[in-house]
Amino acid sequence: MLPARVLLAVWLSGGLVLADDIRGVVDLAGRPVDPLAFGQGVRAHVFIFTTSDCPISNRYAPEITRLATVFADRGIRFWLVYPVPSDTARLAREHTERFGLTLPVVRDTLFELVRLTGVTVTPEVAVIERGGRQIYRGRIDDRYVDFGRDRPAPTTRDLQNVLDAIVAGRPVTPGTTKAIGCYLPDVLK
Amino acid sequence: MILRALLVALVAIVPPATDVSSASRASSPAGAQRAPVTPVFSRDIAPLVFEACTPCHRAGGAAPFSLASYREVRQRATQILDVTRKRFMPPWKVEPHVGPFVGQRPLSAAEVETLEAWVAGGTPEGSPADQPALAAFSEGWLLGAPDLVVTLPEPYVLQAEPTDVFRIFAIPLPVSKRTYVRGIEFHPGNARVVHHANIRIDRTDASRSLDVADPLPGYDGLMPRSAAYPDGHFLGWTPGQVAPLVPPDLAWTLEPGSDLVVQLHMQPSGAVERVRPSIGLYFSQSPPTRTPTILRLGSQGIDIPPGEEHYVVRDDYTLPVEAEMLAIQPHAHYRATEIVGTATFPDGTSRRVMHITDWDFRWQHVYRLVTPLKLPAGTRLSMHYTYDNSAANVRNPQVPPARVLWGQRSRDEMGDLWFQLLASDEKDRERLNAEISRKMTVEDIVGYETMLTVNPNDTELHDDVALLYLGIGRTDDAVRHFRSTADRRPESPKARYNLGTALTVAGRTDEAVAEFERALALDPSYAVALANLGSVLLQQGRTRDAVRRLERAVELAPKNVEALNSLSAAYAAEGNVDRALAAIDRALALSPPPALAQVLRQRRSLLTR
Repeated sequence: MLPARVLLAVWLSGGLVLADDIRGVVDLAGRPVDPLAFGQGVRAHVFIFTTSDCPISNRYAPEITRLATVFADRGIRFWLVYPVPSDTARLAREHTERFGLTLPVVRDTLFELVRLTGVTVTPEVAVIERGGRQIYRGRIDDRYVDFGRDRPAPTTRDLQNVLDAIVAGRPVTPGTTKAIGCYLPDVLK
Repeated sequence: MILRALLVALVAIVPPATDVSSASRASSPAGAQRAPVTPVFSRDIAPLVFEACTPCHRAGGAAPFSLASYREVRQRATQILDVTRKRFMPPWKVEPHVGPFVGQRPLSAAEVETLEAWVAGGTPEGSPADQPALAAFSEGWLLGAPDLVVTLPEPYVLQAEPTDVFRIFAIPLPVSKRTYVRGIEFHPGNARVVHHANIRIDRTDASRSLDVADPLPGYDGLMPRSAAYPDGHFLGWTPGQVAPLVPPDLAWTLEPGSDLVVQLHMQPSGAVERVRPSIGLYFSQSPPTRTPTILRLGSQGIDIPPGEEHYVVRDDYTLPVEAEMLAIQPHAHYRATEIVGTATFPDGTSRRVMHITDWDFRWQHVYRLVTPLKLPAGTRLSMHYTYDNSAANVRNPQVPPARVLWGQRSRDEMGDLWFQLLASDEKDRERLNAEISRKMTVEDIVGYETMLTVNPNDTELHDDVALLYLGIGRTDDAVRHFRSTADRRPESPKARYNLGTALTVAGRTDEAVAEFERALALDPSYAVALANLGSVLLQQGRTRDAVRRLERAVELAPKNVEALNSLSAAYAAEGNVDRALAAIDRALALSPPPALAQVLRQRRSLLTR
């Protein structure tokens, strides 16, 4: 199932991620992308998993754009990840244009990022800091409590809090939250 | 018409009662308890999904994604199981023992167990030969070709955020003569974002003026009082629901010049969206012979302290006559949690007619009974709503919680239970209408007084509630509110005029004269103020003063039949018969309302005797 040389060691409370060979993550032109490269000045990668037909995920588009803009110059690399095969490059491009999503986009064609991070729904996010440690996985904020039960505005902005801490150089305790959204297709599991 | 009638029958019959459908499904080989083998899609799951989910979850349907094949359903199996277990889907908020209602399509506990067993068993397909054919879904008008289709002239552009957006549109209905309507079909024009529609008919231009005043399509705010349910009929739309046409003898009357007023509740999708609904209307050739009555229970004095977790609103009404209940519609905003409606019969037995344990403001729905419920005279209809205004209620729009009062904006709170009742005959209907109308007016007044505690300087509220007080004969309260407006708008001749008129009705003629004089000091050519002043002076026996004002009033407004009537009476009081008769003839030539015409003719016969 997994590429032979991908070594994963992810603990729920956050652990070391060693992914020295990711093969199926491609951009919208089909070119392979290494989303875990830590170039100079990159403090962390943020993967935001989405699907084009998930209403909850779509309603987060303005918030995703806002966060990506706020942290653009602070060493946080945002990736919008389409893990579902039916979200073809063409559909993904149309979707990003329609929802004004201007951050870098990849398709996770072998579900490597899904397995690496352990996400189960969209929208769900994972933050991997320099050194390969996943320090957060879960919801963007607490707006959705359950299906059909949501707050008019979030009271806790989980992702923003984690990123603020990273940017400020504060230590972050690795953690997870439960994201509410559309389950990734059962065929991926 | 025959085809239409068949379609109507189909719509009315197809949605089965819960117990009936559950029984038929449970008795199928799929019954989870009786068949320990793993359920398979083709035989056990497809019949259930195709009936309960696919009508909306299909290409071109109202719901986000398609669930029309094994592949599509298998991919979403975990999702389907989760949302059906939580009863988030299919969207049916009412407890299963209440009803049955038209369009009721909840899954039974046994059906959810079947889904669980299928997912636990690895979502097998089974033999495709067993799979039922998918129903043919109409892409057009489900009730048949409408007699009239109106579409929002230009699309409304909905922004990507925030959570809930409300917008009201006044859409002119181009009918040239009185028309009878059996029903409407609403097409949202953008099912991704349109969550529900409140629909009313406005026979005045009040809604249109508000719409025109806003440069974009529609307007924000509230519907005016003149936008109402027509002739006791609920109108509205929620996803997946089409209200069947009513029989021709129950049609409602549409007068030329009326507007369809549509309040859209939209949930932004995350992208900018264009919204352009269409509404089809279905006519009847003959006037109706029966008219329902709408009863609204509720409180407009809601005042919930911050943090209050269990605030209760109660109301009840005992029917003076026998009636049938045709439909029921609960309404509340974000803080309501549990909603109960009960009918208590004269023999002491009772029946739940509405029960929602997890009220969700987003699912506004008109619940139409499959079989009308007979309510003998003396039946008590009651409501019991519970509200949570604490921070534990995640839907609370105010964080931290704050005091909330009754009001129609979504951040305010409401608590209404509407019933559509059909009396046995016209005599009963008139009695029921008169009683209910007074009950609802009294509660509306409570609502205005509530709003005025928040906005004591809103003169429109003072004016509106003053008119309601006049309508139920509480003239001193009307005077009090018109005076509030006049005090706040000292330069407004209309405010003085309204106050003078209310004082006249209250029999306080000296004060009335003073107010009309003030109105005229501000606007000397204020014709109706001159006319009313003339009438009051006439009542006081100041005939000469009356004639002078009324002559001037008629000069300014030659077609004011009321002023001509008063003028003729004033001339008659002066003994000037020729002038009195001339004024009467002028008024009669203007086709006055029947009651006034009768008065004029009586005076004429007295004067010519």
